[in-house]
Amino acid sequence: MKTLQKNETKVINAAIIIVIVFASLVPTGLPITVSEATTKMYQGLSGLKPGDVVWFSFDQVFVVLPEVKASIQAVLQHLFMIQGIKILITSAYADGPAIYEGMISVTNKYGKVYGTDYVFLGYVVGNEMSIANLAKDIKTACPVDNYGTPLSQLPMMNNVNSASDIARYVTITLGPQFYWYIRQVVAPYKIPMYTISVGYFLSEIMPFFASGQLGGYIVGLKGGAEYETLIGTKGLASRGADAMSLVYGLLMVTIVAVNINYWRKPRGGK
Amino acid sequence: MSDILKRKEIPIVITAFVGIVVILSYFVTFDPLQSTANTITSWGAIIVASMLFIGLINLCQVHLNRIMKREKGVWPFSAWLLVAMFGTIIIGLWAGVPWGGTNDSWVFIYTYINTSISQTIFSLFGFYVISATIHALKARNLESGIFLISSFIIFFWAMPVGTYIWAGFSPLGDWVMNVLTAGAYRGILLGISLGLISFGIRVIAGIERGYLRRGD
Repeated sequence: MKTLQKNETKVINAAIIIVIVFASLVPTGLPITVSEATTKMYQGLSGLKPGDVVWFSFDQVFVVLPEVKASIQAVLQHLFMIQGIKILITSAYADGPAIYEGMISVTNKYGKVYGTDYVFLGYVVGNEMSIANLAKDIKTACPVDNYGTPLSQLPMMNNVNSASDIARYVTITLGPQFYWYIRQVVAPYKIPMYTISVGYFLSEIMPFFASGQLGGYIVGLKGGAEYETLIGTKGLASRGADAMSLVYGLLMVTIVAVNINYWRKPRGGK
Repeated sequence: MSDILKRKEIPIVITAFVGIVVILSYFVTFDPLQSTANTITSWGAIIVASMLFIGLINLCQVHLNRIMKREKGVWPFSAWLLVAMFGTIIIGLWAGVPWGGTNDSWVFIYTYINTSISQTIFSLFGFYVISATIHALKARNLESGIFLISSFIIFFWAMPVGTYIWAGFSPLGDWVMNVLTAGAYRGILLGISLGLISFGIRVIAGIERGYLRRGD
């Protein structure tokens, strides 16, 4: 027992690894509950009509990709499934274009054509100011797409000039850039915004959901699994959800055991 | 002439002008004002972009200095950093990345080096968080007991299978997050926003001069 207590952290880490490997090798298909925020995001995006333009801000860095990759893929698939809508993709992070190139292939089967149905502007440098400039005048702020093609040569961009032409805004929240969009896009142009967030930023986005400035959100792997359930696919997130549930279970069992052990130990009273 | 350019009133007036024009452009739809504000924000974006180049020069200065001085235990890492950075830049330029191009070497760097290293470090962070959570959630007294109970509610709320175990975890978790957590965060956000507004007014009025040389 003393050896176990001495190596507590190592034992816990080993148990986590075993649980994750087990869940990955033997998918148990544990049920997934869909939250209100995820449902609202799904409904908000499903409500797009042919001709509507969605601005998808691919603000992503490699570090947190394991947590949100499945969610991004699920949302991208959903957007590409909707017939007739146009998708404008940008990135406020330098890693964005490389991640975009690695992920956009999941949408190939939906038949949308680059330049006609979706356009990628690449990394738009300048942080909050570049977002403000894009919202005011896309073609002046970014005259060419990621591949150097002038926007005037891309059919989709004929009627897309500013944030006023955007029906929905989707972003990936990693940190303070969430506020850039609230300040520069949502508040001035009254565009419904939806976000894919990492878990540690959830507390910061919740007040905006309650106030209605954020139409819906999905968080991390769990959110991705919920979104996959709604769009009827079983992807990365659904597979990871089993591991997530089991790790949470292990965590709670360990906390209970640690507390029982703590209260069993005799303590010196006054 | 040079004495006039050194006067501290010049940056204060420029800052006040920029601040007032950009703020007014959100509330007043007057074309000359809007176009001036657009020009200013475009300059801002260009300055931010040029900062990346300045950052590159600064990084080189700092690390070359360490290498030249052979700082013990540090200089090999500095050398490796510069090799990795310039290697990536050269391969990126060779692949034509600034013009939307790519090649196998560039994809290899991102897929098998950058992605793997970043994600490994982030995943290791998870083990530390779990270990810290286990040690922090001990019911030592009433307050930590409440903390422990609310944590368990959130665990069940956050785990994908949670509300299948008991449907009540969903409304309970929503209440903790929407009322307690969001309420506290709303207070923090409002405090930060009010602080920023007052800071902005002080900067525009020339009272706050921390951005000037020596802060005078």
